[in-house]
Amino acid sequence: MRIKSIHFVMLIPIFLLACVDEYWPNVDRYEQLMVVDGMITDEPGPYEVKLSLTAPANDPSYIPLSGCFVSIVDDLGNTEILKEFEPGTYRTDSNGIRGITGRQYKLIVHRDDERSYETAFETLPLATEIDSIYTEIEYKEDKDLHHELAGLQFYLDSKRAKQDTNYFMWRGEATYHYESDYTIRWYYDGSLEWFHGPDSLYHCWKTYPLNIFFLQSTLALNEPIIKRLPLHYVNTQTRLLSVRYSLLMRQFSLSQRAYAFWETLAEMNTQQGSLYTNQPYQTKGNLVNTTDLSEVVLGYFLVTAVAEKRIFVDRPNNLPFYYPTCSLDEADFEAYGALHWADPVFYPIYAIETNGGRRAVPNQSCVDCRRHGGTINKPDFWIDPW
Amino acid sequence: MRYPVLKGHLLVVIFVFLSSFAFSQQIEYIVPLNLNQQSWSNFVKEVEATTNYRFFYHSDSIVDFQINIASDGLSLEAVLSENLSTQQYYFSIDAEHNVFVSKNQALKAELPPGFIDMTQSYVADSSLTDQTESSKDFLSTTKTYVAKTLVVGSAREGVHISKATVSGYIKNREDGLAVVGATLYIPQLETGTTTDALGFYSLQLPKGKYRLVVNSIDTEEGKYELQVLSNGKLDLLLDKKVYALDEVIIKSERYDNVRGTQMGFEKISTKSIKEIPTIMGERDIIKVALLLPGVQSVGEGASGFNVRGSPADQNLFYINNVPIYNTSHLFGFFSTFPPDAISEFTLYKSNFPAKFGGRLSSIFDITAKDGNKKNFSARGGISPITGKLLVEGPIVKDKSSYLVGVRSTYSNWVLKLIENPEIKNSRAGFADAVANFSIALTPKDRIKILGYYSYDDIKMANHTQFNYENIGTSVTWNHVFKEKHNFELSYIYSNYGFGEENSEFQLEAYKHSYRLKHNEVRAGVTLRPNNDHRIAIGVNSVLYMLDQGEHLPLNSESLIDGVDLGQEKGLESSVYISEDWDISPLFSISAGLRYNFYSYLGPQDVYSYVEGAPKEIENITDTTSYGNNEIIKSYSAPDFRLAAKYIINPNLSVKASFNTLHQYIFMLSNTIALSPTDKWKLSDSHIKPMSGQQYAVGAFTNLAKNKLEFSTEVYYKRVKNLVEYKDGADLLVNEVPEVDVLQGELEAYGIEFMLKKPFGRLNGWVNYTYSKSMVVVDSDIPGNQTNFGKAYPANYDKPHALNLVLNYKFSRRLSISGNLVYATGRPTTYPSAIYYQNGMQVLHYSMRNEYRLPDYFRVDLSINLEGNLLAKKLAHGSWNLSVYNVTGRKNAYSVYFTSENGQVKGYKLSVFGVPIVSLSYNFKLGNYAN
Repeated sequence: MRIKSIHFVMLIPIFLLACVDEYWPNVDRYEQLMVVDGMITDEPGPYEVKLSLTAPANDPSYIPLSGCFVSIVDDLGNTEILKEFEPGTYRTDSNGIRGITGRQYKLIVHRDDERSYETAFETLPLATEIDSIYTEIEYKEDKDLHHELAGLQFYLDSKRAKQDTNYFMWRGEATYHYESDYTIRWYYDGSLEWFHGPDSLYHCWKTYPLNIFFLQSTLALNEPIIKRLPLHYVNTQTRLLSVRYSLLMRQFSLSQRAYAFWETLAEMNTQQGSLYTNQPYQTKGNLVNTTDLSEVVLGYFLVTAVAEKRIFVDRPNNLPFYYPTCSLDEADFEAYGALHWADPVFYPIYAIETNGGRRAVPNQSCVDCRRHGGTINKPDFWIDPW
Repeated sequence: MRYPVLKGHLLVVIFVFLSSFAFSQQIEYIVPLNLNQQSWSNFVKEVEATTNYRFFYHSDSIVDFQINIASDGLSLEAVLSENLSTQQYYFSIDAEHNVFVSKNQALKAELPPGFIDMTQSYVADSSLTDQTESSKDFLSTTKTYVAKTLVVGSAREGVHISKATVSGYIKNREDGLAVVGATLYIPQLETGTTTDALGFYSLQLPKGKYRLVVNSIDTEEGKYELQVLSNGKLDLLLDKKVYALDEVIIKSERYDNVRGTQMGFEKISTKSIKEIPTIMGERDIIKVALLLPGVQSVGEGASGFNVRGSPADQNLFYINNVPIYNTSHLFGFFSTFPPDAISEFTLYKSNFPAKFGGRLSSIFDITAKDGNKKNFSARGGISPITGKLLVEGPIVKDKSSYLVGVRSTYSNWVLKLIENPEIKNSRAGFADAVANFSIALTPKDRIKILGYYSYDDIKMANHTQFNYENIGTSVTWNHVFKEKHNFELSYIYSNYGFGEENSEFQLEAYKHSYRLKHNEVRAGVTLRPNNDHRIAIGVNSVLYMLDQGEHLPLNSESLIDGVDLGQEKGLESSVYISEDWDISPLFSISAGLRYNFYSYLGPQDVYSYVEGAPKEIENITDTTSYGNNEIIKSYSAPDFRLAAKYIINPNLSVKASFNTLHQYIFMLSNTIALSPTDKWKLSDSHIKPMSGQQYAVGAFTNLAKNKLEFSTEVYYKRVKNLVEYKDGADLLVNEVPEVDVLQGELEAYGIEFMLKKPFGRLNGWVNYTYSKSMVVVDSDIPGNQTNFGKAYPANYDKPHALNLVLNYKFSRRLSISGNLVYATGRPTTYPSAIYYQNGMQVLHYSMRNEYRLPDYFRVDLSINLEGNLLAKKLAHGSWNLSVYNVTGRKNAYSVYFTSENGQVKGYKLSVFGVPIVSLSYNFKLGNYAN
């Protein structure tokens, strides 16, 4: 039984004199090891397996491992060969193998003539549905501002699992709708033109991965049901919640061994700096060199069942927002007058008009929402509230 | 003949307290003219040779000069007054023809009433037993420095014997308290002894005249001329050392350095550390211990310490026989021992007396202060975080006393000052108390009762709450028989527990509890058949009752299942015998045997596992149930304790020791420092007791006319069955700890150098240690290794360590102190590579402890200002201004790595990364010297 230990980092600031500085030690020894990252699920394929090599810790980069012979085998003896679809990324055929609950799968990798690797067979577990994802307004300390900010804390409830002991991992992806600060009236590309469809660069959608995963087992719980699992937190300091926000959570059912791997990974990568943590240690994955058991191979090939759920959240009313917005100043009006001096590489340059009829060229990110990384194409899954 | 050891300043202070007594005029001694133009030292020599005058002065403070004798027929008084006044010296002569010379202060050489009568008590009785029965509780003289011959016994009694036993008590003149651990030494015979816990000593001497020198850690040295005629009793009163006058920040018993058999030990009185810089104004004996050679910690704020390369759970802390299982307040920032209530501590690092056992690396033996037997007294203080108060006084004057000291944080205002709301909503409070009663039933029987309590209450950011407590008591009966033997019987109880409430994750919000109870009976006798032998025999038995606790849902929203982690019971018993034997004045040995019996007792359900397979839940084959008190598993083993000392010359000795030890209780802890929720666990049928052995050799020397003490020790030790853990083990909620426990070996060795200047305006010490401590956990079963079965440095392995502690007295009222600490950074595990999983950067770590944190360096300073020196005042105050980490160096407490938004970042955490200034005020009733 394991229960996540408490975050003792809290103890340190009790003495208010503690300080934390960014620091990277001088680590002279670097081990280049093989890494696997991939999965087979009960969802339709194709499935991807990525093979790579570790990079030095002080100079991180993704080093794909090309030219391997990769296959997935099931307990009935069926073999699916994966094709290298881009360097280091191997993919099943879209009409190929499909994971089925209760069946066992393993990954086989032939790296070269001497080195072959295999995982043990793992059974594809039973999926459990997500019941609901919801938010609550919470106030949390902002690291930089040193005062509390309002925001939304996301929570997740699962449905009752069909078996007593379940190991879950959640990964997520969020999309948000945001708007420019001004609508465009004119554009300049050597000459000044009327801008048709003033809203067309006004609405954008941006999707980002949560870059964090959540783990919970039902082992210590009195019922195989997850309630109020805290997910991530989004504050009001950015535009994320400014219009409408959507969260897609994927719930993976794992084997005990896979869960232990990811739990260790989480522990090793979210150290708190307190002395009351364990020594970090090496985490081997489930891929093993068949002739040299001592070779350390990292990463995990998951055999997992997936359930997913998407929710939408509108801008919370009655909450103060603190994200920066554009305001016009004299320089913006002067910029309009200087348009014809502009370097053509910046064309088209968008201009706005105030209610009083004055024209200005503000910072282009105030008018072109794409400049914040989003796209003007509404995603297919997007549902507007109206 | 001169007596340069006497300190004129001290005399002043002592004599002002003596009630006035008429100066008795002596028959005049006329100074002969041939002493004219002699040097002062020759003059003194001459006068002492031809008369019964004796001179007392501090040779350092009287610079030699020429004596002028103006005319014939002058009295000594006249000559001295003529000569000394021109030199700014003062003198006085008492009725015993003792001449006290001092600089700056005049001495009142007055003696208390009844002085002459009291000396008669030394003329000993004919029947020892009768005499003691009828004597008052304490008979003695106040005449400590007077070189009058003390006669012990009577010539009639001694007619038929050649050797006589001299025994008695050594007490503190001021408060009548026993002087424990005082050393008595006869230079002519190069023999001596020490006083026991009651201040009792016994010496066997051939009949004859001797010089007797008595020293102890917190009294002034006493010198006596002794004439031994037959067996007899000799009680002596020593003057309390008045530190602020002219010394002393630290004083291990002086002559022990060369002559004592002990090695690998440090004895420090709390009085002597009062000037050492503090953190937040809290004097802390454990922080002082960290400045001694061979004592390390994993970081600032870490609980406990590591002695000679051993884990922190291999130290046993006693306060008056009560073992303390958690010595930390606020998880390690302060220790649970209120310094005001402690008189001294002794740290044994090797060469353990046979009466101690049960831990492998050190015994930290704390002696609580006895209450003042003469007067009521109180003292107290205030620092930025705590207030403290101590009262003491007689229950029955001169016989029984009490002392009660309490300390408590007085508010959480420091936390409230912080902007961070998480901290603002936090709470950190602690308190501790010591009550000590000493009751004399008869002159030979004494009862001591100690009560001890410590408490912590900590709340973090509305979601985690901790409380800790230690409760302890000991009742000790001490009986002296045949004047020289000593019997002691103790009952000891200690109770440690903690509770935790955690709602950080609502889903799993829990409360958790733990408790350990220690019940012990101990009996021992110390026999002194003669001066050359000292035999100790004893038994003890400890019943451990541990409640590994319950892990329960905290509230109705919590979904966890409650778990009862079960109870444990164990009985640890020992018998021991040891003998200290002075084979010759130069060579002595000490040998001890301690036999340990340990049983792990029911009720308990014990699992069996598949032979040869790793202990895992899946490999459980059978469960055996044991009934209450049924023996589940027994272990027994002898501990051997051997030590030898050889004195090469009066200023140089060599010592060697060999010790084996066994430990039946350990801390379930796989964190770098002991964590607040670590639990003690008993050895059981799966987890074998740890055993250790240590070899040590040392050389001890006194340099520069005993002004400096130098010692060096080399040690080598091994620990078998060291408890380690599988990677990622969860030890808080663990129903089957044996599944996560691995047992390995520890090997440690090192060399320690210590140079100490115990006295003088400038005093202190510097020590350097080179050491190594390696752990290996290997097994044929693949899962039963850590670090792939390869040896790795222990978490507290810091090869180079340098500590400098200095104190300088500008005047009686003003002194400054400083520490300088350097140590190699502790070993740590760094990432050796980065890889990607699901688009996120993930760290791959090096071998365990392959790297080291940056080196540690710190300087602390403090200024102590004493209140005025008026003799008649109600209370005396003193200020201490401390700056911890003056240079503000950001010493790395840890370097850690965390994945933020898919990217790995490294951080260095410094606990006290800025200079920490604190001001504290202490007061006591009475004047400076009290």
